[in-house]
Amino acid sequence: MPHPSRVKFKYFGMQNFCGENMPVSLLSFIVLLGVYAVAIIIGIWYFLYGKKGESETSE
Amino acid sequence: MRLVNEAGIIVILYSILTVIIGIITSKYVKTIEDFIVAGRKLGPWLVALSFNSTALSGWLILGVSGWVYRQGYQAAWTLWGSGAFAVLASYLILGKYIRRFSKITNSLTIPDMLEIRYYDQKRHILRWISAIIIFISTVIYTGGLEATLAKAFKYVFGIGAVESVILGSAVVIVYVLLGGMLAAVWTDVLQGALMVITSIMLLIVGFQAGGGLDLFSKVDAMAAKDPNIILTPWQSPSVILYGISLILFASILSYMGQPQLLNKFMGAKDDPTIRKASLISLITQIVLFIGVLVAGFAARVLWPSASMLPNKDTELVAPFLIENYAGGIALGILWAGVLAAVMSSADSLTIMATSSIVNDLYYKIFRPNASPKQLVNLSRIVTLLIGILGIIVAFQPLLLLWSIWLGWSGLAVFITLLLPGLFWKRATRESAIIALIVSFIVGMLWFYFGLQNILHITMPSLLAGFAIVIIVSYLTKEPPKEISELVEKIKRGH
Repeated sequence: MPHPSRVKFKYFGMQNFCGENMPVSLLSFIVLLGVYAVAIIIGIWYFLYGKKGESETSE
Repeated sequence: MRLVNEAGIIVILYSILTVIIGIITSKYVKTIEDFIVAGRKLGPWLVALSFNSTALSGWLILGVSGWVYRQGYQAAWTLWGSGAFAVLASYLILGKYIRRFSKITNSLTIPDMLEIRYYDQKRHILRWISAIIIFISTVIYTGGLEATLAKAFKYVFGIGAVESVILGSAVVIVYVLLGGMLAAVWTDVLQGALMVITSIMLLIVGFQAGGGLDLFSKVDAMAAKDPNIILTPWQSPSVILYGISLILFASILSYMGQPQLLNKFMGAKDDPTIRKASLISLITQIVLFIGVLVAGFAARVLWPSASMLPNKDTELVAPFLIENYAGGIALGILWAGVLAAVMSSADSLTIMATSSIVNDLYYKIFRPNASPKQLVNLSRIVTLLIGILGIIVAFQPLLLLWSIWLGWSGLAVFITLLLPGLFWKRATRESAIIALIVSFIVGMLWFYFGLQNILHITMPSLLAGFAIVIIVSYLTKEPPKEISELVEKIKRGH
């Protein structure tokens, strides 16, 4: 019998992807970290390629 | 009592170190520009750590860990917003434009900027409204910070509620009067570093005490008994809707509207500094938020009922976890981290509020010939007034999360003028005046009527502000040609 909270989560289809025994809160934690990873990639992209339009001097 | 003594010694040592740094760096503060925007000489590390430690206060370590304890992943939306995307948005969308505007127009504060952009130099209406909003919001925010220290002193020294509020408030006021007003940015760096150490400690201890990854199985089991624990950020439509108000309005747009944070961009020495600082800010901010999340979950598993917590207070889960699983020295570091978080926000907030009254109103409008000594004395009186009025807020039986959020939401209204002002030539003076007033009042009324649990205060407040700027701008006369040229100049950077 799956945990009630797992049943709620089924509509996202991720439970099947991650396996029957993975706690929902762990999956949410992984998603949380995944979103942070996206933010860091955007941050690195800006750090490397965000020079366009910068005024170089400290005026 | 042993733990408390060790913790107390570390807290006292830390406080002394902060004041010493404040006194040493104060020798380098010679002009009003040095004082308000650090002479526009800050490098990436200083900008980044100062930005983070000013943005986050006791709200993070005590408030958010308690929120996770009560409501689980509802907090995830704020963790994504305040932890990452708000930082990115502030740096990527606003950072270099705020710095350029400030430099080109020689404005030192956000009210200065608004008055120039919205061509209100003759009547000073925007300056007055901004100063009033900043003052009220800072009093509320400072009250929340004083309440944070009150919790700390009650916990560490076991004193009563009234004594702890008075002691907490006194420490904030004395620090800001003596040390905080002197060299906030350098002490912010020390404080930022201490906050990161505290958060890493919470992450490690949280996982250890909670049984490693088994922590999450236990949280799931707990949620089966308590429907208040949210297990996924999209658990229900109401969780998602509230989440949108958190991530978009309370986090991203609110960060971009905080004058005390935007001042850090004004202090940056050039555009590349802001670009480099963005990555440092982003990564440290993420670390800060993950630690409190894990601590909140671990505490929930270890002490399922609030009655098991000290003073039955869910906002004390972080120190309680550290006291029980890491010992006295770690508890001392945590409280020093909380103190750091409170002080780093209090000093920047007070500098902003004081400068908006003493520099922006008194000096520029009423007494242009005032001596530096008179200005300093008046600054001290305003600081004292903010601290004393904050005590009223500190006595309210509010969660720290909300008392600090209320002050934060009041300051967030400036985004409704800044975004259109920097990127839309058509935004008019009349629209700015009405939007600022309505946006602030809507936010306060939303809280007064207790609607903040349906949608975060900032959502109705900021939506009202943006709508008014757009509608009233189209109904009123176009801004003068110089304003269009100024907006173009800011975009080009020269």
